[in-house]
Amino acid sequence: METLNLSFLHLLFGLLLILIPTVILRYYRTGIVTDMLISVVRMVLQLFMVGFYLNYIFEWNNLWVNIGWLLLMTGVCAIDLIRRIHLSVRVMFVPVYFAVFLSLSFIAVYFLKGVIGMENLFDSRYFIPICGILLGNILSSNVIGLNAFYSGIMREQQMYHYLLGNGASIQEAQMPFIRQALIKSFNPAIASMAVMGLIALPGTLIGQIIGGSSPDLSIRYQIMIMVINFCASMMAMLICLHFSVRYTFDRYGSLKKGVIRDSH
Amino acid sequence: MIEFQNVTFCFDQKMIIESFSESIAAGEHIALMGESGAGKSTLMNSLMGLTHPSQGRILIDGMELCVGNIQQIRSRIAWVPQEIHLPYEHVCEAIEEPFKLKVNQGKRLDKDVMKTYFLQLGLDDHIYQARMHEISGGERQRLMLIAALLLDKRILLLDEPTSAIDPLTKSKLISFVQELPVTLFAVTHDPDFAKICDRTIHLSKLRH
Repeated sequence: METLNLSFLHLLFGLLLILIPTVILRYYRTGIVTDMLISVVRMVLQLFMVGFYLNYIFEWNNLWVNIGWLLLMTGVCAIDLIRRIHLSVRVMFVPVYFAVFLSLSFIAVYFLKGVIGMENLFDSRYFIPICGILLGNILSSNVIGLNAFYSGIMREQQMYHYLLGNGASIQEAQMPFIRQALIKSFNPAIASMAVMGLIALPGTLIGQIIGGSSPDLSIRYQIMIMVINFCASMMAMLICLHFSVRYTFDRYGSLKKGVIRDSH
Repeated sequence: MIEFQNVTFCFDQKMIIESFSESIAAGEHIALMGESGAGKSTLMNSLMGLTHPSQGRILIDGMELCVGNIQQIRSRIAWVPQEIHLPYEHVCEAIEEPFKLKVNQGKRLDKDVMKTYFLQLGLDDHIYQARMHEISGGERQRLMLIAALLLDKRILLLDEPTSAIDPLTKSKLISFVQELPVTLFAVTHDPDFAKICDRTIHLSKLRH
């Protein structure tokens, strides 16, 4: 079955729906109408831009272009992640980039080569969307997790110092904060998996079905998408914490000054 | 033995403590007094390597406090802060979990000794099974003191030990602490507590 065309005129008609949240947010004087409108405009422009360059990337299907795209997008993801957790980009870029790249590469290779058995791992039609979806999920879950970790240590500094001062190693003293970061970051994904298919149909599944795939195949892909997202995000967070603490804490275990840009 | 040798603490270009020297013998009980902002907490935190002097040095049992031996130094210290949220849900965890730290491996929790401490400090046995949020700040502080003593630490750092307790409990705590065979370093504003210490060190706020 062919996908029904969505013309620019139809898209514009569809975007009129944004008037509903605009009116609601204005009525309740939330003060976030402008932010919302800017976000919608950004989303539209960014997606058109992605659509534009993806056309070329798919057409070229070049190993080096795809790798270059991955390296660049990992950098964008790392910078966005660091900024959103109010840490210093200068201090955190290397550990975060490394953590994101390592977990993403491992999971992408495992899935593309090991699970679906692609001959050409870097085939852009699979490589780009899979890496893209992984990056998006790593970003969102790691923002929550790393924020919980660093804001937890700042908020509960006395508890952290109590553990350190009473002989806990740096790793032992950070354990309760890592635990909290994992819970806060991955509880939503665990809850989402529990109701998947019952009260929630994910975008990837819908996209594949609309794109013409059979529901059976789409479901199998969706299961794998959920699993790889979950694993890559958790791996990235733990690697990121493991490497970042070397840069953000001094050798006595205290959080270094100047690492946090704004107060959490 | 604790030695502060000419230590100066500066934060954000503001001097908090200037050229402080003091020697505390093993087993000596010291009350650290002074107005707020005089640097009492800074001095106490420096013993655990949580603040660092910009000049001078600190020696604990002859070891200079530095990165190389900070773990060894921290293994000898127990710190009981004034008000703190502990990462445990139940009181029993606050007592038992410290025994699981690498630094305390080989040490065993003696529940008979624990019960004696409970009695001496006016705590009911049933509190051991309570949830952390069910106990008061004063009870929490005494529990942390008990946890520290059960670990058989040589140096005990107390932060305002009598601030959150009633007069009767305070007298029990004071008699209890007086008999402890440890080196005690207590930040306090309480003259009754200072009286039972061997010495009182007064810190004055530096005027800039």
